[in-house]
Amino acid sequence: MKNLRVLVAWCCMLLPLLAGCDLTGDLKDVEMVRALSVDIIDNVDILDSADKVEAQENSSMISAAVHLLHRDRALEGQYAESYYQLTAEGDSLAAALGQLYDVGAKQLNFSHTSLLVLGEQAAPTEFWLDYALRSPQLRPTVYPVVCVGQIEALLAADEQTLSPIYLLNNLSEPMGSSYPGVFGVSLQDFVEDFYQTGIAPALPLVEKTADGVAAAGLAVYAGDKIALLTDDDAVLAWQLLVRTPYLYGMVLALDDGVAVRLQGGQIFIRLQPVDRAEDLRPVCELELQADILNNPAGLDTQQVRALLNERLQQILAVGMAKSRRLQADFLGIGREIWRKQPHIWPQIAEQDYLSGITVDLQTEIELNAD
Amino acid sequence: MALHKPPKTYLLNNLEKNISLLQNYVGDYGDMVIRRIEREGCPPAAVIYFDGMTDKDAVSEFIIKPLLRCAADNLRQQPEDIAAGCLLVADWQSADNVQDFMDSLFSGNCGLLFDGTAAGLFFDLKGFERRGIAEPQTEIVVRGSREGFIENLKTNMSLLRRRIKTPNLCFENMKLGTETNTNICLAYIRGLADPDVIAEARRRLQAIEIDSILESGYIEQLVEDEPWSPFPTIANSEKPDKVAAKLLEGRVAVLVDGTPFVLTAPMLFMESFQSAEDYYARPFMASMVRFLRFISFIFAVYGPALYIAVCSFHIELLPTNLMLNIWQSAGETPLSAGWSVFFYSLVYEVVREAGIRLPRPVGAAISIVGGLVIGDMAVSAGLISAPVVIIVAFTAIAMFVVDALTDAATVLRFGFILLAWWLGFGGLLLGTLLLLLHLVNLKSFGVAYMAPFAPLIPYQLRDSLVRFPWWLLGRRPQNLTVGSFWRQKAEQPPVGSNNWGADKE
Repeated sequence: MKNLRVLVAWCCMLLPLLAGCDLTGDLKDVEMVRALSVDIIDNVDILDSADKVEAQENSSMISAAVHLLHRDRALEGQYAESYYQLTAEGDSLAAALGQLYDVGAKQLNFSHTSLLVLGEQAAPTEFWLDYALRSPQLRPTVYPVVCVGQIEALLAADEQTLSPIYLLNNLSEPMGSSYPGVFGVSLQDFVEDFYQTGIAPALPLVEKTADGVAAAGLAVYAGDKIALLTDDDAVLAWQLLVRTPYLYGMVLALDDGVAVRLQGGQIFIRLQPVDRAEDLRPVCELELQADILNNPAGLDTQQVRALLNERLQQILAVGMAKSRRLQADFLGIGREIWRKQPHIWPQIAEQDYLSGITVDLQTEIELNAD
Repeated sequence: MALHKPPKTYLLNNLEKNISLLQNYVGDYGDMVIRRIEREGCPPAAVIYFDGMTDKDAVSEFIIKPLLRCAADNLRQQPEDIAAGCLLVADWQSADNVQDFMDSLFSGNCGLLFDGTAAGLFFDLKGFERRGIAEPQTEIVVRGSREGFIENLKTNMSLLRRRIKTPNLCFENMKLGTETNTNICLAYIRGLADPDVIAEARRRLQAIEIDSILESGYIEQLVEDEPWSPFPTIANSEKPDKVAAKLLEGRVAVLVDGTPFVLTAPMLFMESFQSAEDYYARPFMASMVRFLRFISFIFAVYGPALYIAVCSFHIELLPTNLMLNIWQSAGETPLSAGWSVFFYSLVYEVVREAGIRLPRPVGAAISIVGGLVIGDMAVSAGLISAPVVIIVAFTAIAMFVVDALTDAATVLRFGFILLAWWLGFGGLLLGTLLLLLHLVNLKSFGVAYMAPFAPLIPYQLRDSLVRFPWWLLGRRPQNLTVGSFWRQKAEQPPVGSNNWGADKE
């Protein structure tokens, strides 16, 4: 009897573990969503009304599309013919997706969704972030990307060509599954930056090209605004300072036709203790490992290192200039100040602190001539 | 309720009446041979045995011939004196009642009755056909003794005695089964085995009241601690070296006439993962193989259930490429993961049962048909997906890696399949907790089943999931042994390891 009571007590204690067990669907019954795309479509009828601007804001509908794998072609997922698409519209992303569930032949399963493609108009967080964070199905490892223009154009492809979904996946994870590259900003990373002090979060910007899709820059979230950053060097500065652990494989072109492939790197932003905001002088200590990829001029290692250093200084300068101009600290300098000089931060938090700060770069480059 | 035992009928002084008593006792037995011996001036005698069970040549040579040739005066002595002085048989005993006398004859002994004596002699001249000592089919080893127990109790006892040449090796004989009168032997090493365990084993054996003991499995189920547990709490083996090793660790063994399977107790959970060969091979390989056995057992219990839980509840746990493979295969079948695994596991069990019971050539054919044809055709026909076949087939193989726990693994596998089907990982967790609770509560003859893990006995972990070198296994299991704990000099490195070559240089 005592054993029975112990058993019942154990079972009662284990009952909370069953939470969520109703959200099930057998593998054979589910449809695999590989990408979710969100865009804004304007209601043309209302646009013609008198108060055009306000009507446009109020009448915008959210279009959500899920890009599903054909079951019998799932393993050849690099081609466009492996995917099909279901689209629905609604007042919100949740409403649109609710309609998608209705039109979907079987259960939509987002557990292996890897991409969240945001149209240029849908990129502001008000349209998608709340749903992405609350959805029990979207994983925090999903990669949000912002596309230039309309999503429809970006994802359109002939059946026999490489799928844009596949290409976007490759862009996010060039080293293979679960190894994000410099452009692989996961939802988790984005949200951490979004709620972090002193940094403007950024998402990769992608565009349609003749070969499919390619990275076009950055979508920087500065408060309620989004700035599309297409300057190559500014993007490189973001990659070097914010995405340093993911530099592997990135190729940098230098003067004299020299090119190096980065193997890895570390960044440490050093801040000497100061009492006044004007005395702040962050020093970025960048350690890089790189292979010389192309050296037509036959420069020695020392010369290539000097070229690379010069290029890195230039990149940082452009990045900082862009950051100042946009007044969006996408390089995260403010975050370092907030972390390392917390008594200074309240003095500058509400100001355009980037204008008054000079950032130095110290590099330590390990070059492999082979 | 005790089984009814008829009152004993004692032998009389009259030979003819005694023969009548015996005939009445056994009824119409066509195979009972009664050879009367009558000599001038000597009391008549009768040699009695069952045809086919007693060595006739030995009866003629060692009993009848001496009786006919010895001096008449000798035959007028008491039967015990005649057996000692005239007959040429080493092993004999006397009985004063019909039941004991006939029981010995049923065992293949040869009986001898004299007129004027209210007692009978019986001689161990068994001559029935018996299987020779051969390699056990269930415990084949690459390295180690090829001898296996046979169906003859005396032979089995000798196999143990040949390995443990110590006066402390004790055999206690008893008979069980009111109809079968099966000879049972309780074996242990005095001074190593726990007296409490010996007494408990003796008590449990003597408490058995049943009409027949046809195999040691009867005894196992009648004396085990937890009859409702899927886990065995009494081990069995066909290998004399294995049983000898267990006796040397302080366990007791029960040998049963008529079966090559010898029971040993107390049993520990870890014992199921040990093989005789582990102790003959080098420790690294032995440890690795033992660890593999453990992993195989875990897979045999959890494999199909994990598949169901992942496919029905936790798809996100699979790497995408693997998921796509399974997803694609699953989409072509009408059954869900739960039904597929349950159905194919049942098919496998049917095929296995058929393969075991049928004659060997047919059984092999059934296995091939079951394993290859049904599996392949079921996949081709779209009834089940290929991953299910792989999972169930590999589970079946893994299940046989730990032979002693095959039955438990089969039962648990289906239990976990149902739990995973119902609750996913929650079910698996629930089942695992209940299983662990059950395991740590199990005892075998008073010894904790999960030792040396629960209770933790650090020294004995050296011979658990891994096996340390012999020279580091100096102590006998302290939860099994009393008295002499040390089986060798304490942690003495191998003799050859002390720079022997360096001294020469």
